[in-house]
Amino acid sequence: MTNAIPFPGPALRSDADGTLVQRFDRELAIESRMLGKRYRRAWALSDVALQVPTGAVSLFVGPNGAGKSTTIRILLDLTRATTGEAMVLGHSASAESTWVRRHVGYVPEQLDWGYGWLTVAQLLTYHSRYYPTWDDAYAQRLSKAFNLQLGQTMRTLSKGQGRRVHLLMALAHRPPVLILDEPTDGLDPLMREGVLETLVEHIAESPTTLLISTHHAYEFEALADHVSVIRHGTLQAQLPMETLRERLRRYQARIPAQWEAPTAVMKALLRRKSAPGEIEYTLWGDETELTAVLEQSGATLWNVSRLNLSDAMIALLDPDDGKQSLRSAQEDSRGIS
Amino acid sequence: MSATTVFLPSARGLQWIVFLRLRRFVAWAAFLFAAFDTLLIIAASRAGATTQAVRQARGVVRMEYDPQQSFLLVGIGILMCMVLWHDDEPRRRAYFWTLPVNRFWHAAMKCAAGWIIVTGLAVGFVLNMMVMGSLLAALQHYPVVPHASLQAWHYLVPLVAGTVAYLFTTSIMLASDRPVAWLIGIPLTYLASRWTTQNFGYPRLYSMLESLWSGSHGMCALITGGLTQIGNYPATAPFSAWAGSVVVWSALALLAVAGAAQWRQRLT
Amino acid sequence: MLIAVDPHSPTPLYAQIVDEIQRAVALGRIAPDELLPSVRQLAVDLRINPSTVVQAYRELERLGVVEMRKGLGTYALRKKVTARERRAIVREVAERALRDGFRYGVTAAELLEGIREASRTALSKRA
Repeated sequence: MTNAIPFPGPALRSDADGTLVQRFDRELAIESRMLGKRYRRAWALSDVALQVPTGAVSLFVGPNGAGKSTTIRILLDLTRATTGEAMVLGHSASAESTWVRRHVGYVPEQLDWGYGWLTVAQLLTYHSRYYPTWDDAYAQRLSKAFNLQLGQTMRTLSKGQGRRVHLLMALAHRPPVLILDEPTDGLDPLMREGVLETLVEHIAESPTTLLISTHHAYEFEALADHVSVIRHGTLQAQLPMETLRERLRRYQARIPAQWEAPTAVMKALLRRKSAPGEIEYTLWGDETELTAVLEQSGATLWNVSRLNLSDAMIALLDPDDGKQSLRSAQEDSRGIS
Repeated sequence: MSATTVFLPSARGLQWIVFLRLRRFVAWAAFLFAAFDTLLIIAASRAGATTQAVRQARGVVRMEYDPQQSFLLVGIGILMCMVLWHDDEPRRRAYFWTLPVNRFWHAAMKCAAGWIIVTGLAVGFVLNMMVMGSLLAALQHYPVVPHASLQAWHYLVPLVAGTVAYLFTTSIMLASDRPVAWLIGIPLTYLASRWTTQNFGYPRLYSMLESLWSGSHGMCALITGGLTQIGNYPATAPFSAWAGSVVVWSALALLAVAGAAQWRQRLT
Repeated sequence: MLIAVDPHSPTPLYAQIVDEIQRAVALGRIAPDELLPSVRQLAVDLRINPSTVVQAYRELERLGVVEMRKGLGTYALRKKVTARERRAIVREVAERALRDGFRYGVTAAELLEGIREASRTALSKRA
């Protein structure tokens, strides 16, 4: 109750390179505007402007309960948004939900999706009847590659096997959009590898837009080219991976006594660690500029390094006082303009 | 781009899956019928050797078809519906709801597919009881004398009773996030309010509630065809009374299902 | 052809592929006119996004390391490593070492001394 997020908040402005939550001017396969969802008195989502460019592999990252599944459910009309709207391939997720579901391959969070009392073959036959674009030859190829025991009852399958059936169900009608909700949750590393391989082969073969929700971003690091980060129901970041790699750096420096961080640095600060005489700042911004500012302030930079996706996610997701200052700085700039 | 295109599921696919889901249930029901038949035959062949007096005493437990047996079909209708929708609970946003077809028609067609099986069971039950009636009469060297007041339309009673129970349960399974609580809660609330109104001086309210069950168009009339037994004498009701209750309750049940399916077009 | 990439390294994947192939061509592990794996095959082998492979091949083409022939595939070009490229590699390694050294308060001179000593002992041990 007390953590109810006041809503509607101000719309995140600007498409400038500098913002963490970007708006893409490319054609979008998935797009939401001012998306909000209230359960009783608490907002599970507020003002979410999710964007997935057509053809992108986009990771939807956030801790459990951040609002990933709620957003995905809204996209498939499994729940209705309280405010705002979502579009998939230019069609309204609520008003044209059947059309949308027909063009989306969906792997839900639940591991017991489908009917436990059916055999794999029966479930696939039944499922295929709902999709006019079902590619039976492809389905058979996948089921061979997955080594599926077609005669086995769904209920008796291992987690990994069950997940593969779900993946097959989502892929075999060759949808233009794939939405996978925690597709590797509960799988061992070998199975995860298998899922990854299948996805790569699939997108190499048929052009597909992917939205993968996960709280283990690193699993899909090699696949993703976009990332949307959500926490407490609001987007914290939405960027091409390229930009994330370019603008997010860790700066390690020696500092003189009584050193104070310049404002430009404080505004760019996401995370910090410090020891006497030393700092390690994770900053968001142009490397040359920030390096110059730090050096002018008297700090001796001895290392500027890129972050891998895991560390980048921690920087964006972990509440740190530094982050507050970045956010309030953004709000300030909004107020001024 | 037209939002008006209605995507419908394949009726054959649905019928197939509903049958697969319910085949075990149907098998159990058939097994129960068979067990019941066996017991009757054993009892009858023993009774055949006994005196006329015993036979007459056993007449109280009638062996041929009796519309009151449709209470069994009510139970079957409710249980079958629960089995059918158990995996598709809207609360869990289960598989059914993720499929790319119009949800109203999907639910309606699935309901119809299940109804075909309920009705099939009801027909099977009636036929079984008719055959058993003749068989037992033959075993006991009786002529086939059906229940004195039995008329042709009485054979339809279990079909309708099963149908109405099935439809009402469907509407609850669809509309509610806690169907079991409602299925238990509604009869309990009904009984409790009847008791309260009776004992705390609301006679008009009580008689209204009472007539819901035992009125001329009440639920009881619908289920039994108005056929009851007072002492050893059967009490009958005219066809028109039963037909009236069928119209009222079927319409209500269909409306309930349609309303529930429409309500679940959008999962909130 | 064997290429190794580390998806969790902070270096972008396409840059890693570019590096790997450039090095392989420079060192002769990939012969001139040799057909490189298709985008799909390399993507599947490395479990990476096919568009990353496309990006890497484009960059390699821009660098003159490979040539994309329409409908045929991507071929390696005849290329020798230039002295300048070699110096660039050396410089990269050296910078990395310097950064690490700085962390432990090691000066460049000490580092040089250390490298000389290490290469003497390490190489003699290996031999």
